[in-house]
Amino acid sequence: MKKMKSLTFLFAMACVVLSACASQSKHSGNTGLAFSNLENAVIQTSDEGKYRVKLFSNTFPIPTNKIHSWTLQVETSDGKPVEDAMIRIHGGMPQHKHGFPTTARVEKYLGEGRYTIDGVKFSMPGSWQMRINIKEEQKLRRDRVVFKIDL
Amino acid sequence: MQYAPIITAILILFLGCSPLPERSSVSLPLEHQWTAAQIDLLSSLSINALPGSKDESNRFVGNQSAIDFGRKLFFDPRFSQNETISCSSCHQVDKHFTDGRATAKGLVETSRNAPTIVGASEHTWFFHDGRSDSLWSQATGPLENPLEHGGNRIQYALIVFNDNSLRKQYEEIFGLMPDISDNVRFPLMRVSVDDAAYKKHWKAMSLQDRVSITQIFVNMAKSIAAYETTLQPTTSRFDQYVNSLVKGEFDKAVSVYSSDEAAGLKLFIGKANCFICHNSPLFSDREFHNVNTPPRKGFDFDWGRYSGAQQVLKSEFNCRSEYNDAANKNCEELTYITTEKDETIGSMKTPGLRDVSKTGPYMHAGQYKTLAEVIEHYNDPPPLTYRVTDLFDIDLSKKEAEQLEKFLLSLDSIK
Repeated sequence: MKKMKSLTFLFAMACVVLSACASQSKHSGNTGLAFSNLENAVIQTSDEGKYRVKLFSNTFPIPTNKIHSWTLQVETSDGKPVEDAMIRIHGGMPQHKHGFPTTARVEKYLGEGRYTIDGVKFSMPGSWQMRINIKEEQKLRRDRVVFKIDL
Repeated sequence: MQYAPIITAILILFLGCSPLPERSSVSLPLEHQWTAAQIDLLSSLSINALPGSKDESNRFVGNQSAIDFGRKLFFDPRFSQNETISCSSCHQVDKHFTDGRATAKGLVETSRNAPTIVGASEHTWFFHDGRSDSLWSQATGPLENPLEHGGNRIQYALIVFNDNSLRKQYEEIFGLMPDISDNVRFPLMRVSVDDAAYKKHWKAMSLQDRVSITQIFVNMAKSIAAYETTLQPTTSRFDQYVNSLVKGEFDKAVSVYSSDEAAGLKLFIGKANCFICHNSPLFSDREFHNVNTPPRKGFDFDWGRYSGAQQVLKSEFNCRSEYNDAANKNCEELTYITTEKDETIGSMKTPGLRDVSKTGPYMHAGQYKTLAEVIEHYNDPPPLTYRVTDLFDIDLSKKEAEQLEKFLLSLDSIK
């Protein structure tokens, strides 16, 4: 019994170590790591709960001072892809009260509720916001989601 | 002992997930101690990381004949309305390609400081307000600016056409010049492009004649840009210091850099927040920021990037022009350019900081004579002239301000 307890203790220790390792690798370096691909992308619900939105950068690490693109996946609250929505991108650095140095916009619909955001550029490291307005004309549905991006 | 393999496995796991050991500078004085992450960041500023950008819009960059021709044009005062102003009037070799003045003076005094040309080819936008998007396009600006060279492209084409030496050089690079000897079609008018008679004549010229002249003008500008691209910053003591840190040669690092300089560098990438905009090997992010620089006494508020963005979109020589040599005219900087007021009003391009001791007076209109005054501007900013700025509250002590200045001086090229 004593042997069993000791083994359990050692197994628990190993689990703690592995968990710490996993946590460390996930959060080390650029805090934008969570955006590195669609599977790991952050999922956020829009302000009024109408959409669930995934967002990730197509370039990783997320660059500064370089134009690049992002991918957006939009689905309804019950998990259906949102097709052909009108999407507008705004944002900036709230700390400095300024916006993006470029005019990012959605120019390609990739299917299955996925859209490419082109022309994204961050002009300095720091805390950025990307505000995404989603509008479906025919369904008279619209909402907004805000992502925080720390560089 | 029966658990030894398990304990060993756990230890391996611990070691395996530890961060990489920091390159050890712990035996050095505190100012010279850096983490591995900080050394990586410093490496990104090293001159070794200078990308050596190739401007695809100018196929004559790197062409030695074009460089030689461009050098001649750069120093020749005949390419101005009264034949007294050359590019080198405001970009003087012995002043690190600036003029030492607060605001540049061509035919008359302008409202902006003449920035150095050294390293200019590494930028994305040109002029303080970015109203050009290539170095060659920039070179066309002052030549026809009524305040600067104040001449016109017909006059300049005729100077090359009628000068046997220049014409020979030109034709070796660009092929035969068109015949522009007809002084009715191509009159020599030593006037600015604002002159009513010149404007009337230009408008009346055939499209083919206008294209012929403009092509010569563009080729001249591309040659000047080819020459300017050869003007690059060289190694500084800062680079020597970083290279030594990267190699783990800490004794050597300490021997080339004082404690105050190292402390200043720590402030630069930390508390003083300079690194936020002054990054990359040029020490410029190549973007536009409003840092609340007050208008120079007697000068109006400068709209900066707000007007520059409008101008580059309308420029006849921007990335989308027929004179862009790139096979793939991507032009994404123009495609996604912002003209929003809050992002652009009063914003100026971040200047590089290499050889900064030689490029004063500082800011877009030479508002400050010394680096100490510039640091004081950031430490104790004047009242806001526009509500959006990229200023930080940095709160440096007198000693810290001095250390920061000492670091900036270490960016001078080693002779």
